[in-house]
Amino acid sequence: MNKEFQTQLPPISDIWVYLSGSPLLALVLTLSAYLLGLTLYERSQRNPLANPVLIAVVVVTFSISVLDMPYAKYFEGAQFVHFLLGTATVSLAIPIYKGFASLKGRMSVLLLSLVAGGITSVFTAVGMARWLGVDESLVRGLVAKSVTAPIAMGIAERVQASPTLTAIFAVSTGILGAILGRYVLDALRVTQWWQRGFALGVAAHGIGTSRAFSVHPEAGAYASLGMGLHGIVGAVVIPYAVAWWF
Amino acid sequence: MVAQGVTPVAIGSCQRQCERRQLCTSVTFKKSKLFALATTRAHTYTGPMIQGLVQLFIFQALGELVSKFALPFIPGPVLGLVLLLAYLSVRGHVPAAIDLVGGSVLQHLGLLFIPASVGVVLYLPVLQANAWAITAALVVSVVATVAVTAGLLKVLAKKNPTDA
Repeated sequence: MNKEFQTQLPPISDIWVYLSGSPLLALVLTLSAYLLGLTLYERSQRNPLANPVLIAVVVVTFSISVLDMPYAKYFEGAQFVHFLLGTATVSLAIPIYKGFASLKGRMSVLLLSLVAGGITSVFTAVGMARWLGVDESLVRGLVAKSVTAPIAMGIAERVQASPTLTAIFAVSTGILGAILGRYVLDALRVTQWWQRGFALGVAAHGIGTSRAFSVHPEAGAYASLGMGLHGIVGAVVIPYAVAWWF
Repeated sequence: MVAQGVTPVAIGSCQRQCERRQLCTSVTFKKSKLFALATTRAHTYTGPMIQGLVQLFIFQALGELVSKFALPFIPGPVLGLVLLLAYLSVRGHVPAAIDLVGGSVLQHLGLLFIPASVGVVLYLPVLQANAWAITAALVVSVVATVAVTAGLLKVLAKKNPTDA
């Protein structure tokens, strides 16, 4: 039977079957889409609209639907990239630690703004979504969307929301924050790099932080601090808030 | 020997041992610049990368363990973060190996989000049905969050000019 099967397949599909069975295809796809995104971002003079993650997600989504590759199959290969999110979360300790050194008594100010920002994020998202009649199954996914994706997915599991949906909302929020943040901050005439960076980190976590780093190192450092603190505080507080509110 | 990443100190002691035992015939090669270059390269490049990765993985694993057995309401990676933060505070500085690896992971944080966000394909029908409302909620929420955080920071920082 095996022999019969082999003779039916032309060699090119043999190669194809082999490739789609190994994690290489998904890995190459993910990494090259990101590389393409980065190149376009650099070419456009780091225009916030040419967000590298957005470009990569569109390219990968398009590619796997053209290749007729189910998402589960894609994720089987791409999980090696996904796994590093946990490592990246742990690494957030580095900018937080370095940030502590340059805080000079700003800590209370930062924490207050963080808590205010975090509450605003959850209430505006859930409030707007309910007011506009969004499906209740989606609303839960919005709760943790301003927290960095790996932590958001952990929170999602604890509040019975879909981790995938939460990740999608978290990434969309990150992309939107990275694109829109600059205009909001300019409109409010916030000129200090540390304030601009911290706000981006709190509202748009990792993607906002990448954006902040590409604009100014001080903004990037404070963005990492904002993202990390929001992650820690969110992980502890959000499950209780949800249990009380929903 | 080069592949094992021998440190300069180890070369010295190896040379002394070799000379004492008179077993080593290629001492001249070992003293050559090429050898020194190859071994220092192996030390400075491969060493810290693997060290940093191992240390980060250890903190990640510790975090998962604590989350599983002691604090199940906090995700493992967050506990790993807190543990690493505690370790860094005890050490008083960021070890170069952790800085190197952690820094490069964080620099490409965006890449790590791609696999999860491609999951958007699974939810396309339900998302499409609610597309405008979801987009509106996300845009309003992120604009409000940036505005509240930055606005409050600006006001509070002005009240305490010593912070500037």
